[in-house]
Amino acid sequence: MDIFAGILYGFGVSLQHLNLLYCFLGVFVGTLVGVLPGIGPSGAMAILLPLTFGLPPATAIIMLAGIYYGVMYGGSTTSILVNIPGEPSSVVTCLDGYQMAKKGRAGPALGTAAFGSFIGGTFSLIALTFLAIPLAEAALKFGPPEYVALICVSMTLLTYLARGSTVKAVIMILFGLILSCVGLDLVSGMPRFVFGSPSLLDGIGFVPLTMGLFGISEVLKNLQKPSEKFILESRIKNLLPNLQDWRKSIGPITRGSFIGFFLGILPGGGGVLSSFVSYTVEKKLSRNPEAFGQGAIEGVAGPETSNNAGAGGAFVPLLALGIPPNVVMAFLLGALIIHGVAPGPTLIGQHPQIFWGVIASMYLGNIMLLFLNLPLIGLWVKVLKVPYRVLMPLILLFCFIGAYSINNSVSDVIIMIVFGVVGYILRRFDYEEAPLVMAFILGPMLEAAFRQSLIMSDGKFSIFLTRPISAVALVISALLFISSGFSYYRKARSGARSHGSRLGQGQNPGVYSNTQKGGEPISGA
Amino acid sequence: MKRTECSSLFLISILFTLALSHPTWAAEKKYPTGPIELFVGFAAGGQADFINRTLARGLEKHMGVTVVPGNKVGGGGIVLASLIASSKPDGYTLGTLSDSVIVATLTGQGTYAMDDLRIVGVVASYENCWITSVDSPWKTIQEFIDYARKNPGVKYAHPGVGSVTHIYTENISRNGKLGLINVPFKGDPEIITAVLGKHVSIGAFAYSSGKIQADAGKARILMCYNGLDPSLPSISKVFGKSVPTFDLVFFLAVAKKTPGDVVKTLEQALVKVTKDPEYANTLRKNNVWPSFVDSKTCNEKTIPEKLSILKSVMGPLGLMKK
Repeated sequence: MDIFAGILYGFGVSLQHLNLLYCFLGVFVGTLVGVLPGIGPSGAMAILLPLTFGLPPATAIIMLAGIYYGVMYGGSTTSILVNIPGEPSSVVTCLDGYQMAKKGRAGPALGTAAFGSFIGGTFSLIALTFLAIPLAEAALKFGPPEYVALICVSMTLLTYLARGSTVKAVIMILFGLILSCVGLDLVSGMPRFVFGSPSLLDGIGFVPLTMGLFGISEVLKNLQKPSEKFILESRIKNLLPNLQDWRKSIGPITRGSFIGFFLGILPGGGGVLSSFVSYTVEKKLSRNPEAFGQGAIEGVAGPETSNNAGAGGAFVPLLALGIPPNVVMAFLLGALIIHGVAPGPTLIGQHPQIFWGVIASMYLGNIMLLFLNLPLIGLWVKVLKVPYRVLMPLILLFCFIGAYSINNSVSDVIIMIVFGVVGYILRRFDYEEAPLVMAFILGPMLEAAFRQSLIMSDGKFSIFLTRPISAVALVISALLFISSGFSYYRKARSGARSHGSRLGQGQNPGVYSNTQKGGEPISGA
Repeated sequence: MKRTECSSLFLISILFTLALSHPTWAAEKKYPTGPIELFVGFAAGGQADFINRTLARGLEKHMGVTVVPGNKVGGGGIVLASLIASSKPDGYTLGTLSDSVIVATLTGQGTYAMDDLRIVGVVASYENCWITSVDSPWKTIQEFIDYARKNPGVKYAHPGVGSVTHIYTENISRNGKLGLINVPFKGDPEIITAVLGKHVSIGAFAYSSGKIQADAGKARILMCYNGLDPSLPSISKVFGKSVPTFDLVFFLAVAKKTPGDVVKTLEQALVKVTKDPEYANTLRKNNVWPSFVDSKTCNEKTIPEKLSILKSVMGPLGLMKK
């Protein structure tokens, strides 16, 4: 069945009443789950899976898929409104989205997130439709050495996440790397930093960590300084992004779509890596990078687009090869198996109604989500009107329920509380959590891939340079590193000369390790 | 004052006796009287979770109460085993455990001992296999073995150091004199990618996952460990007696102190479930086999035998508790 016939067939399948209904149910539940911190797409899918047993497989997958990308839409809401990421892929949205909300621009932030998510999601679907099979084959060429190189590129970009002092960001990166070592060592199977506790055997959970660092610490900070008020905009016109916002966002959205989709295909990809890379790319390409972290709309548009594009990309290896690139896709795979469908390269041929039906339903789902989320923006913004003495305990409640719901385990809640306190202390001293979180994710990936590569090569380091993809990526990473080293050096020199008295405050933009295009140092504060 | 004291004492002692006799009231009603929770130690969507959910449906049918499947992920089954060992011994908290739980007691990572668990019976068998990419130079297992022996240091992928698959494969490599080197990955999907992308020569992992790739023509299954698929060579056919084999199973467990009649009821239900064609067909469609071994045989023969084979393999690997 050729592509166009397939698409038409798929729309035929997805527009059937049953499938439309379950698609809506899926995206609705997904949005809710995305908004609520803690409970993630796999949790929701696990709970709803028994509902699907009596349904035809295509319908079941349509609903479950809807939950997944619905979550990517909803996750940005709490990130923007209360600085608590509803999903790991929305962590980066907290950085600028929350700042925008504090300045009274929550509506445009939410609107940009919604539109960006729609465009990113639709783009990745189109790419998925036409490129699924050749891309999946290409993704197979990424073995451990290629991952090492790719993550090296990502790690050189890590310092761009920082708003303030680069030194503090590096300390946070190192702290994140140490935290990521907790658990079982990949190659020897020996426990590290586990202190004899079975709940730490699998490492510190990512969700309790981020919920604690961002959510609980935010609540604690507000307890300490309750005078921060939100400026509220209640006129509808100001609830949506204006023309200037659109002009600024077009670039990030376009780039975010590509970045998100291609990173989502790779195993370990999906929303998180995509959103982070998009943010750092936008900051690097921007004309005034110091606006990032203070409420730059590009910092919301890029990541939100790319995390939805990444969700679409994650379907490529699943549908084309039967290989799930992340945990949520693995769940979908299991659901397919339970329904008696063997996923894999034969899926397209043997079950065209599933492959094309699911893809077509994702288009419809994205449209449904846009209509679902846009009118709700006015409602969400009103949440900010709730007095803090009611809002904060509610947030705490949701965080506790969310952390517990991951594994029905109290230890996750304890980890969250511990990191809530840690996060509060970090914020008091102007350390930022974002570099820590990204290092926490990237560190184990890098270590695993590095050690696997060396086992594969019998200990020879040349493996990284003899393989073409990894060699190219390593060269890029080296260039990036050198270029940011140069601009840091140049900045420090000019900063020392003209702003000598301000160097100690950690606020001097001259200490940023990025620069405008053309290498002109940024003058002035 | 004396009378009120006396009557209140009388009242309290009546209430006390009633309270004490309540458990015996409950015991007179036949187990099970309410919903049962059946946990598995792995994440939703995988082979273990699938077996657990199928078993839950079967038990529900044959015991007449709701059986709720759940996941208690952590440490490859260790967290679940700890939970079952310390759970209330009333037969309402069950666990579907795999051999990884036994392995953990030998590596010292388990916070429980096998004695803290009461094995009700084996519920299913699964297979491990070796797959290689479809355009690899080895068409049969014998070709691969000859190659490996001539070129020591061939790489194989597996789902994690200390996993049952890893230990079993090292057992084959050492006793079969293959000189393979293990490359650890996290889970089956990464292994498939590594094998199909030809980053390793072969992958050792679950047959249920390998069959999907083989049927699609992307991979070739070279060997099945325990011969449950008669169309494929098995360890005993290829290596004879030089490589010890053991069954790869999932079993049902409860807390040690669970009363004997509760365990008996569960065991009888298990017999019915594993003989039920619906259970068998669901498992078979996904390349898992129903099987049953009763509690007595498990405790007296199966588990001790497995322990000794595992010890003999894990010792030289340096994985045993120091």
